[in-house]
Amino acid sequence: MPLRILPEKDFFGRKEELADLYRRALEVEKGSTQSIFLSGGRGVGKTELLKQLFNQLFWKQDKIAPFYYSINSAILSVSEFSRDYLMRYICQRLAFENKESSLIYLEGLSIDGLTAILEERKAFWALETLDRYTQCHEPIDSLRIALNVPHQSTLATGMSVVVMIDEFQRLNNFHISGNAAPMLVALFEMPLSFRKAPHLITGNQAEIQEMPIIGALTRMDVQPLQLENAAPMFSSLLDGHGIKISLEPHTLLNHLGGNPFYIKCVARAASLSKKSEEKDCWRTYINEISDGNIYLYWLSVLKSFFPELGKRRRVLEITNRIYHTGESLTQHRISKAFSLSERDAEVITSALYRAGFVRGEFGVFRAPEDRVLIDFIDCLYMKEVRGKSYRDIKIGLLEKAADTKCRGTSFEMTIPMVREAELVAARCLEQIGKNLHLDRDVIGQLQMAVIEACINAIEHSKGEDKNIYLSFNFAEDLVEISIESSGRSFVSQETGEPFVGRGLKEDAGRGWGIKLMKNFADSVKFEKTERGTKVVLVKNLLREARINKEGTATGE
Amino acid sequence: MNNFSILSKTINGTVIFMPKGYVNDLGAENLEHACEEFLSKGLKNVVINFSEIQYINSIGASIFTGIVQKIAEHDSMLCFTNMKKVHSDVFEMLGITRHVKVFKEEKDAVNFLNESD
Repeated sequence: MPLRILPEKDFFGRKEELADLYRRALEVEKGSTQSIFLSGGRGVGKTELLKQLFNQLFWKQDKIAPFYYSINSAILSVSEFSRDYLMRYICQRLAFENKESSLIYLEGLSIDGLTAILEERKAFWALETLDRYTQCHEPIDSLRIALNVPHQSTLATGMSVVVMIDEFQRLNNFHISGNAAPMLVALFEMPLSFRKAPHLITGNQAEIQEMPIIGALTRMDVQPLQLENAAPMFSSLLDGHGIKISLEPHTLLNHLGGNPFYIKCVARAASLSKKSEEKDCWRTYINEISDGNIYLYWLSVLKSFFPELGKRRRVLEITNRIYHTGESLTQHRISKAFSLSERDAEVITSALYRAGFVRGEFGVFRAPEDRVLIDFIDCLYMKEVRGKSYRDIKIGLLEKAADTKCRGTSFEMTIPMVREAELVAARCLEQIGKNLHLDRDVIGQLQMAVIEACINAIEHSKGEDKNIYLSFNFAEDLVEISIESSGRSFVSQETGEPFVGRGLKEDAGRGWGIKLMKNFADSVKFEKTERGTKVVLVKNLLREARINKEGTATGE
Repeated sequence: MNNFSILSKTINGTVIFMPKGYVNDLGAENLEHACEEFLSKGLKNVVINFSEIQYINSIGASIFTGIVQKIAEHDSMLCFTNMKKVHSDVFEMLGITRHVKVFKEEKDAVNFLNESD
């Protein structure tokens, strides 16, 4: 149960969120605190945040009683759930009053056993609730009694309560004597509205968002860890095993996306391998997604949403297509591409969305931001669908990892085609350059080139899409910036070069735009894309450094 | 949008412009008009201090050819000062620096023009 938590020193990057929740919890007495839905991706640390909050409330103050309950997939019969929820609440409530944590861990306690404890402690409010519960033989009424017990105890004792429920989405599998009863979750609506017993709910974001009680909750996002917290967390986990690995420039940690679960899995596996170089960490990571704990975790999610063996192969094909098609796919397009009925396509895409494999709650599906998940699916797809050997898969992933390392840091942005929007791109580039400690002259040259490329994009836009899509990729010695827009007529089909049409000649200076781009970048490519036209500017930083050095040496 | 402004001052018959922000078509045209105004008042020497210029685009830079031309028509002198390397590269490419005097600091340009007079 709840108190298996990380030591405070190992709980990285959540001080502000924890302090905020703690402050809100202490304000419960005022009666103005609303119930909260703690949202965030899988593995981002929501459960640990709840446990840390429980721990702080339990030990650091006496006014607000904390109650932590994690929905157990094995206890989803309404009768069993009600009994478990009620008894755990009473035990934790008594434990808090006397700071007697052993009561929290009591397992296999019978109602008679609990009654005896309550009589001994003269906890009459709990005895009365337990008595009402035992007198009740209707599962739904029993559930009502259980769900309302935090509020009842507040009324009886005057002590407010904060109820923390983890894995809330599992209640979708409520049943009465084997008959599915997911709508019974709606019985939470009233308990959620009690201001002196607010609830803090978390679990699988996509599923909870679809539940009927979502309207009664205020959403609070738990973001992935920033690099400044992810890096010390990774080091600290390795330090515990006497291993030190320098991960500069943090390409692996960036790849893990600040997800504490992934960081822990890779650090734990790296510590077991006892290797201490960055390339070993990438190998460890690849083992993790192809055969390790990350693999097992996502595989179990996949299996729980697609228990039928025969369906999984098709699901992998669809997911792989969504990830790599480069655009959002509608359910209709998926059904056509895979010769599925609309109904089957809906069932599969809906389950993929609820499982967290794809984004797109309005029927248009796209890849998630989680690169580790994408790697996992790629790996499984290669193995199960393409029939690749384990060795081939690892080689493929290592090549991808090398490419990731090469790519280094990348940024993407979209700007509207409005006057002087190019300045937004130029200013962003300036900040990126500062963050990456690039030479100021190099930033200035790239800004000039980007400004010209954006102006071209605005002038030659033909489609309805009035946006410019910029992507900045910074490797160790190379910068690649692409500027894409709907300007099809900008590039000659024969030469691949921009043609200087009448407009360009007539507009003073426009012919210079291309020349400036070519002067300030080492390579300027013009590509036709599905969206329209893409200008790719490449600048070699080593060459630039050499030129600057020579310039300094000759006193220029 | 208001990403461009000009400050000006006169020292011993020399007008010094301090444009600020983004020199695009509108910014450069503003500067061109300001130059014309001072030239029509009989001022001969023009200094443009680039220290507050953040960005220049190709249209803005090319309008400077018009400024150079007008200065020549008035038999005046144009100096650029405090230029970032990237900006001087742009004017070099457009061939404008052949027609102007470029100084590191504003005071260098003013001293030069005083001595020339």
